[in-house]
Amino acid sequence: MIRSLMIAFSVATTIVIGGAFVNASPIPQKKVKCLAGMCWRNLDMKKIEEQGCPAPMIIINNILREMNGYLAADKFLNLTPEQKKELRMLRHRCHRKIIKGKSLLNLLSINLLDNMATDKFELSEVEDLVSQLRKACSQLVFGVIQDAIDARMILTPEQRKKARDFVGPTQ
Amino acid sequence: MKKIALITTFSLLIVWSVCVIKVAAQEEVNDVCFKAECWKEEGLTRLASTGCPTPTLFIKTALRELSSYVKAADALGLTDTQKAQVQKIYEHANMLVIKAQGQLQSITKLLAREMVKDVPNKQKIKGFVDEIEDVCWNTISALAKDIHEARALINKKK
Repeated sequence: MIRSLMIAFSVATTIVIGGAFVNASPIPQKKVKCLAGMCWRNLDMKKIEEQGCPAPMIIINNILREMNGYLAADKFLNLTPEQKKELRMLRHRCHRKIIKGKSLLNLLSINLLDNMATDKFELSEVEDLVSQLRKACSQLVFGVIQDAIDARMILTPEQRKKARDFVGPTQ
Repeated sequence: MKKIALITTFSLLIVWSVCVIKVAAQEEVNDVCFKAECWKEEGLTRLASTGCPTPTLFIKTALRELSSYVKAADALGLTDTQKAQVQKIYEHANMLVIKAQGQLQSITKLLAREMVKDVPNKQKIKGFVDEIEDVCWNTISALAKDIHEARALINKKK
């Protein structure tokens, strides 16, 4: 009886711990599927519906997937060393932009939440913070989209066509 | 054979209890909250875990606070008039969010359609991004006003 209980406990522990690891493991990025803006065809509208506003990360993730995709498919696209160098530089610039933009957004969000966590908050202060957040969010989102378009332009029209054809008409 | 059945039963029982505890803990999080307490700790924890300030964080917490006043109107000792006012604020907030969702979906679709093009038009995209951010943050600003109004009502009661 005790032995059975011990085995049952071991099995259950393995399932629970295993389950936790499965939850924690990152979803593998399908970089290539995003080449030449193809991942924008499958933007998760349900997510936007559930969340109310498109979080900047929905857009940023697509941008990063696209930029990483070009470098991951360098051999397939026959990228020249100059093109690879330019793409890496652009990705680096984009990463810096994301880190800087997200830091600012995080700080402003903390201030906004701190204000809301005061029983009698000043509405004018909250409105001012919302206005700053709007500006910061817009700058970050448009900034990274610009980088993605610039990255696409590093490719020749033939390379872009090859990338689009590779991804296929539907996913 | 009996042993295997016993082991399976016990294993399932333990897994089930762990799941029940987890679900119960999650349900507890969605319970009512009032005024500042809705925004303390939890918001910041979520912000830190998501790694990016999602407007959702604000919207969900705002609706949670407003719905709490409606749910606990009797416990808070609100008069019928105040109950009606709180209900009206809550409905207004919900309407704002639903309206914004529809607008955001259609603009985001346009943005995505432009991004799929071989050479997207940067000016058009700038316009869509600005529109998205306007709708999004205007909604948040309006929700803050609703909360301010609701809290004034509750504080007046005290």
